[in-house]
Amino acid sequence: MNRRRAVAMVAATMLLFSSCGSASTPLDAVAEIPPITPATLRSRLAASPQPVVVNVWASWCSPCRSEAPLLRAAASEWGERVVFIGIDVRDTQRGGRGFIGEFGLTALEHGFDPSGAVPADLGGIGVPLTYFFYAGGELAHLHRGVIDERTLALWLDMIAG
Amino acid sequence: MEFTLLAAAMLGVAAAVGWLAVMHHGDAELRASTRDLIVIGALAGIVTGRIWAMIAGGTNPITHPVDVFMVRGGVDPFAASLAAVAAAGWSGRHEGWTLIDAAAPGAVMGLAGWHAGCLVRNACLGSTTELPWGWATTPGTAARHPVELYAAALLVLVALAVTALWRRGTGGGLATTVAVASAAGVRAVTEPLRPVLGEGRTLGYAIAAVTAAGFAGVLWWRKPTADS
Repeated sequence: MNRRRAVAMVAATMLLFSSCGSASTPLDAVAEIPPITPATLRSRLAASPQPVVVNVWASWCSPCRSEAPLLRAAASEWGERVVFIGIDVRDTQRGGRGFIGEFGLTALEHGFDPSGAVPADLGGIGVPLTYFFYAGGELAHLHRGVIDERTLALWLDMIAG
Repeated sequence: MEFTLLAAAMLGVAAAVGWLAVMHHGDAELRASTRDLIVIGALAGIVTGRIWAMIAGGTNPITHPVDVFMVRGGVDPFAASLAAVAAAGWSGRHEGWTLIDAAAPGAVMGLAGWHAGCLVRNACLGSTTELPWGWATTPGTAARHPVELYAAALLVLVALAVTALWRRGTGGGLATTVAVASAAGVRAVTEPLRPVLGEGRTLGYAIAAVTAAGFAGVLWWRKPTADS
């Protein structure tokens, strides 16, 4: 393969990539993220008749970006049996809404926690974090760092299967 | 930051390189060449599979290049497999099938090591079972199939069989196509036991296994015999 042909192939591939991905929901269509506190989340968990997955994320967090499509797929598939709650920590409203819009995470409930008090109360450090709760609020598992498809699917099956 | 995925990957590389060292212990040049071929194939597969998974998930790899390194976010296995085979084939093109066939058992053993790495990642379990060897994550919860260990055990058997085939000197790509068919077959058999989001990939692996087995059959039928 000559160099000119290789450059043309790389350029075509980059053009293809640049047309892929991007915001699936316009920013204006994403509502303001309501504030959440440790107390409101704990009461929400205790009162929930369904298992709950709580994902702690932020728009500036690169690992959160990589797991966002998985969470969207999981919420779409398990949303009738499991409640999905996203906690946007140490972020701005504009950044958080942009993240929700970009990844189409509108099937999740979201709470805005600029101080990071919620994960601190739940015993987690850093982002992303994913908590799996049984119905009634008992913690089944805390996954630190980026979650993969198998782990997410396994723990969804554990709390709701 | 979690390094268990990296540890599992290193276990896979160690298994592949270790097996190649056993296979080619008398030929340092072949050992080095086959090792390089596997490393090139693995890297090409991971990068391509990750980029493909990003595009499928709606993330633009041009505007978010750092995300390519977030391998835990997902690697598309089909894109990764095709890229790995293509990169290995391209790298070994000057040697014909000789080098690729010599690397095939090591690649399968590497896959076995990767699956066994579930022990490091604490990610071995699949669907629930009442069989006596089922594992429970915590007391009181349902036992589950250690599906990744099933896959690891089956792939070790495949690696041994492909090694025996290669030692018989069949050549001509037979060891490689049998390795690809068997590895895809192992995934197709174990996939229904894995927890997945969506439809799962059993059909895709089954198609890959049958296609590769078809190629292997053609190569077996066309292979030169002793009196020809």
